[in-house]
Parts: sequence; C-alpha cells; structure tokens
Amino acid sequence: MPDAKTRRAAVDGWFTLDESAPALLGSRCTGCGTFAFPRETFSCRNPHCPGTQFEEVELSRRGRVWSYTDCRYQPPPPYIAAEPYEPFALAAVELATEQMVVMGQLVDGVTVADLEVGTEVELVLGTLYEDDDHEYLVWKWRPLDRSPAGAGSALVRGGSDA
Amino acid sequence: MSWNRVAVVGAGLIKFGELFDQSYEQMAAGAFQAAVASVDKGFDPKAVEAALVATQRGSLWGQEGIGGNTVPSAIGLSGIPCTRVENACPTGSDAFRIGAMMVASGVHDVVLVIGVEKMRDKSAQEGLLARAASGHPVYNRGETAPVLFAPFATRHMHEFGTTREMLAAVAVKNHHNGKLDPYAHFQNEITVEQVLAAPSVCQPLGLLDCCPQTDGAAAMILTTAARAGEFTDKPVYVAGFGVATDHPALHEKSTYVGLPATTLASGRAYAMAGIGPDALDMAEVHDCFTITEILDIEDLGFVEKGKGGQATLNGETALDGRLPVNPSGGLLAKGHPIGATGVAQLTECYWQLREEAGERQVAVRHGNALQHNVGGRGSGVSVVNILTRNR
Ligand SMILES: [Zn+2]
Repeated sequence: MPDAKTRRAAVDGWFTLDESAPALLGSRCTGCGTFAFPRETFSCRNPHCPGTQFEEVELSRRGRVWSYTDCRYQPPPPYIAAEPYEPFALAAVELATEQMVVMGQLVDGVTVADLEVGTEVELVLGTLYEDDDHEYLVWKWRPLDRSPAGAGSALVRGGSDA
Repeated sequence: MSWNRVAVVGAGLIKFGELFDQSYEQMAAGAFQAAVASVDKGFDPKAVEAALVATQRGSLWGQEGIGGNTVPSAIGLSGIPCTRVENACPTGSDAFRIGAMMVASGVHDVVLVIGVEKMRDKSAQEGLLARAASGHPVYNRGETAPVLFAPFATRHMHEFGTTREMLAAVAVKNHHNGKLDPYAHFQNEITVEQVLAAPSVCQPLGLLDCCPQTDGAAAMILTTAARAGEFTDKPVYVAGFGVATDHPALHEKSTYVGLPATTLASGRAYAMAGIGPDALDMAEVHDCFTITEILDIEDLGFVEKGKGGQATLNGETALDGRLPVNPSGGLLAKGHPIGATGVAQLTECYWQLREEAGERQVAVRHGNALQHNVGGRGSGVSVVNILTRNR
C-alpha cells in the first residue's frame, strides 16, 4: 500500500483544512457588517459603505440549496476528469447566517435527483484532483440526513469525501 | 451634454457558420464589403476615417497585442486609426457604442465598426476555458457557461413555475426565425419534443437550449446625422445606449432570477433615448441559452419578472407577437461569434427599421429597436443600444 498522499488546499486561504469541521474563510466589514467571500481586503462590497477594515471570519458550515445543476459532459482542461468521466452535481447554497449563496460541487454519489431547492447541506472537504504526491482539496456540499427512516443516508455514499 | 446625433448608413454580414475556409481577415473583409455595398447612394471605402474591430478572443487568433491592425490592411484601408475592443459577450455591442461616441464627439465623421470572431478553429479547451483560469477552485475546474446559467433556470422554475416547455418555446421560436434568415448558422425548424428529448448538458438545460459555436463577421458604417443624407435617404439613428457591470461571482448576486447588469444598462439606454419598452417594435437580445432570453425580456422590462416563460409560450415574442424578440434567429439559431454577435444584432435592427428583413419583417409602428448583450464572468457586464428611424 503506497504512502498516503499529502492533502492540501486547491487554493490557499479560501477555507480551513479542519477535517472534521471545515469552513469557508470570509471577511466581515467592521463598519457595516457585510460579509464577503473570498476575504475582502481592499474595499467593502457594500456600495453604500466606505469601509476598508475587515475581520476574517469562518462562514456558516450549513445552508440550504438555493439552486442546482449538474455537468453531464466532461469539461475541457484544466478540469482533470476521472476515467471514465462521472457527471457531478453542483449547488448554489444559501449560508445559514450570512445569507450569501456559495456555489460548490456536491460530494460524490449525489445527483440532481437527490436535490431540491431547500435541501439542507453541510460543508465537507473533498478531492478536486490529485497528482502523484498530493490530493488537492476543495469544499463540497453534503446533504444532511433529512428523514428518521434514514432515506438521506444514501446521499453520503461518496464517503471518501467526508 | 451636447453631442452630434449619430446615424447608421450601411450594414452587412457574412453568412454565419463553420468558416474553416476563411481567415480572420477574409471574414472581416467580407462583412466590410457587404456593408459598403448596402449603402443606398454608394460609398467610397476611403471615406472611412477610423475603425473599431470587435473580437473577444483575439489572443487565440494571433491578435494578442495587435489591436486588430491586420484588419485595415486587409480591407484596403491601411493607415487609418484602428483599435480592437474586447468586453466579454457584449464586445460587438460595446464597439458600436464606442464608435457612436467617436462620431458623437465630433472627432470623426465616418467610423467603421467590424465584429469578427472565429470560434471553430480551436478546440473548446483553448477557447472556453482559456479565459476562466484565475484561481477560483470551482470556476477554473470545469465550470463552463452552461454550468453558470443552469442554476438560474432551476431557480426561475422554482420561484415562478417556469417549465421546460417554456424554455423549449424560446428555442423553437428562434429556430423558426433563423430559418427565415439567410445569414443564420442553423436554418431548420425544431419542435418542443426535440428540445425536450435532446441530451442533457446541465440540468435542466439540454443541447438545444444552448447556442452553437459559430464563426461570423458583421460591419456597420456610422456617420453624423448631418451627413447621413449623402449616403442614404433612410438612415437609422442611435437613440441611446447603456453599459453596466455587476459582481462577477454568483455568491455576490442579489438575485438568481435576473441579471442586474441588464436592468441597469437598459435603464440608462431608455433614459438616454427618452422611451420605454412599450415604444419598441422589436428587440435582439442575448439568448446564449433559452433561460437567458427569458431573464432578458424580464430584465429589459418587456414583461413582468417571472412572466417571461409564459409570455414566450403565448407567442408574445414571436414575429407577429406583441414585441418580436430575436427575429434574426438569435444566438440559438443564427449563432454567437462573440465579437460579431452584437454588430450582427444591430444590423438586424437596422434592416428591420428600414423594413428590409424579407419574410421575417416585423410590423414597425413606433420606429424603435433595442439590442442587448450580457456576459462575462457571472454575467458581470451588459450593453444595450437603442436605434430609431425617427428623425
Ligand atoms: Zn461595509
């Protein structure tokens, strides 16, 4: 069995690498409280605010699906596709606290048939692509188990993403 | 503000399609010759004082750092000032706007605007994503245009009850119109059943909800209203224009059922023209996907927000409808050679206002037409131009 690859962020500074409770890293304007993702460093995104001071904040790890789609065809490079290509689902998720909508892939195994507007999801780390030495991570959305009967448990069958 | 009133006195296209046999410069020359030939009282090409070349993906066709200056030489006008304009999907419409301002300012009397784009010579990986590699972990890993528009469709369906059949009605209408347009890439009718049965691209959008990759070129000749009579007795005037930007990222959008840049840009254009959407006879709008046309006609104020799908299904935007939209076939059937798209849409408006559009001619009651593009990362830029035949 080969050594485990080093897990690292596909883009630095956009999310924490906390394996059990990862979070997106955003900023909050100290003047008006407007959130931004990724972190704002120059000028407040609120056009009515002159703010230039920001604190780094971890954004809500949970939210509800605002809208969704999937990618049925293999995107061209730089997308690095598995062989054979597996279509993946994408969701725009409204974060619980910030009310911002953040797009992300769903964990492996979840399809658009498993989603509807309003589905509750949480943020997990997932693999975007790999090379010989590294696994490059990105945030992905995982639907929460919604029913006592466990109907939602099938949604986490891409367990390697968790 | 005081500026010279601007008139269009000539416009022409080459047939859109897969033009592997023509070079970038040959395509530009073909459009220019068509525009020159269209001028009613004749036009000496040497009258052109300056040119703008609209090409969105110049870096792919050997135009990086060149600014379009291979074009004047190819059309026999080497020596004139020429600048290449690039502004995402509204590249052609923004070149027209800037050309109009060059005439309006009094700096130049006769300005040529040429849009030209080769979409088919390079593979999708070089084309589609060459512009989307700026470090975003989602965007630069395969988030192509349909992935960015499809969530608007899902959300529009959720909020307003828009259906797949309503989306399909956009494609069916525009293919019907394209069949009547000799310059369109596709000239075949399609049915709602065919649209619904087409392979899924990005749920809920299928293949026939998406515009094709098309090569094309278009050219227009602008001059002052004062000099227009030297060239034609039927000029069409620039009534107004507007440009607006928006946040490029989806998570900064205030809405998922509209494109705010379109609303802002059209508001500015209507204010400048002094008219509202009820004074339009037709419009050419940005239908890169079926859902986009539905968003457009709402954001441009043609119908109430949420009613775009039903209005299309009812035929309100058909050739004989209340406000015909995309009589040329639109991007879906005519094609979307990006830099040429806006110039070609404006050419269609020019022909329609002069009542020269043949079988696809709409009824001209008010004398006004609107042209619109929206695009760029997250639909972050829109341009709207309004033309009028009213002096
Ligand atoms: Zn602020």
